[in-house]
Amino acid sequence: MGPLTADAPMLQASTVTLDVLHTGVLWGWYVTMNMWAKSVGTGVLLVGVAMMHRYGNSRAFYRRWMPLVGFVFIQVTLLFTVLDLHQMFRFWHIFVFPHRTSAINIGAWLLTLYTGLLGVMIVAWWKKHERLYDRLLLPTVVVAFFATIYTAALLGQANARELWSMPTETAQMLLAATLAGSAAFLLLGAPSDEESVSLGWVLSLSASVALVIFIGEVVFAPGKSEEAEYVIHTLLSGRLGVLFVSGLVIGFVVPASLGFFSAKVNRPVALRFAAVAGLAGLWMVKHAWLIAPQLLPLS
Amino acid sequence: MLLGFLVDLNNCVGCKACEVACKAENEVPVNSWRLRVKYVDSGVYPEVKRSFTPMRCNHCENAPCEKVCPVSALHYLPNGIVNIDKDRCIGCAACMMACPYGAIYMDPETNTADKCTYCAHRVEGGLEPACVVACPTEANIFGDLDEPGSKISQYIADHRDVRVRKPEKGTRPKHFYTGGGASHLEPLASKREEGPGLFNRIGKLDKVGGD
Repeated sequence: MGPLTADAPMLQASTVTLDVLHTGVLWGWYVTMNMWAKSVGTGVLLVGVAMMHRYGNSRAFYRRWMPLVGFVFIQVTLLFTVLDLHQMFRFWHIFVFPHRTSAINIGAWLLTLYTGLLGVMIVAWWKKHERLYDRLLLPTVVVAFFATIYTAALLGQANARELWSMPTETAQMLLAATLAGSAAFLLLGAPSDEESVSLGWVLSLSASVALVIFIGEVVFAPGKSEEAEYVIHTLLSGRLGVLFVSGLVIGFVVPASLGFFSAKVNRPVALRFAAVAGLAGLWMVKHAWLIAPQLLPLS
Repeated sequence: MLLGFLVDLNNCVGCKACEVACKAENEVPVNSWRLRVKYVDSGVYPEVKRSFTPMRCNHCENAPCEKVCPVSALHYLPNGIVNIDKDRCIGCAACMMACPYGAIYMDPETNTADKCTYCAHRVEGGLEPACVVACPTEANIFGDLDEPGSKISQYIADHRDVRVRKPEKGTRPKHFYTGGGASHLEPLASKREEGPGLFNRIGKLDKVGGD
């Protein structure tokens, strides 16, 4: 694969004839895996608690899977976070030399706290300490919420990368979490048809709203700056066009449609298909969104 | 004291002496640059023009790299220099994502971020940065922005076309240019074809140095 660059959408009269080559993509699929796995890892808590509140008699299902799935996927998140470091054995520096203005640092503390809380919840579930489990629910949901949105703050701090700093990024992170969380429960098999339908609604609404926001972003961002126009061009019709557009269709259009119409088709199969499509498309869109701004020349 | 740089692009002849001096002074590895000179060609033969732009860290007063660094490896010195502690850096590359000027690189030998430090070690000893010393046309002007009588302050006061790169980013760079236009300072003002067309295409070496 040659050097990754975008096609310039504008007419230029001069040519750069000597400069260093573009540094290319530094945050690649490891970072995509980080964001994707975190969506599942925090989404199961956010969606699970809502489902417990709504369907009290199925609490056992959610009480078991929320901490287990959350813990596993947060470990995946942390694994890819550490693997992506060029000096992975210095990861502990984050805790010894904390820099409070850095979203990465805040996120590392949040994810560590979240991991700890999930770990205790698993033990509480295993030992049937229901009181302890219930006491941990609220703080864990709060931490899950902030662990979900800290990545938006991190992307917002990446001053050089157009699109990442869009104000809608926080909403996109939350929607990715609710999409991924509902998809995870659908794949695990909801305890009742009624709950399947509810999870389908969460999935399809998350996908629909996220899709509308993505459309708004690609429509309005080009007016923001020349750089944003360049990145949107890359995302829609440059080398990332196929990945991004097909990701939108697979990850958002398909789950949104199947969720809305699931009552008229073979519901369990359709909803599981929607869940798989949602998770796959979410990865594709997140990856394209991550890569495109890195193809913008900075010099 | 607030140290700053100014490049008079009218004087730069693109000799790259600054680039070489920087590499030698700071032992910058092959395929990495703390300072580099960009060439931009414009016009149609015989009416052609080549312009040169030395580019280095802008040592921003509101440096996004410093803010995003999770371990404070990037930090301010009292004289305004944005310095880097490579022993503390974890190589997360967040600074490279944050810097709008593409001034930070990942050192292939240490696997840590690195960048121009305005030769902080030389400045501490009362010397000028290596690139300033090497420049044959005195295009690189370095000094204290807080001192009204310094050469850089005088230069800024005497020139009406002093610019910084990407002022819209709000980083408040302490690196200025005079005599430059859009093709010098704006990345998208010129066509840029990566690959063999960019004539300093250099591959990475598997090994640097002897046995």
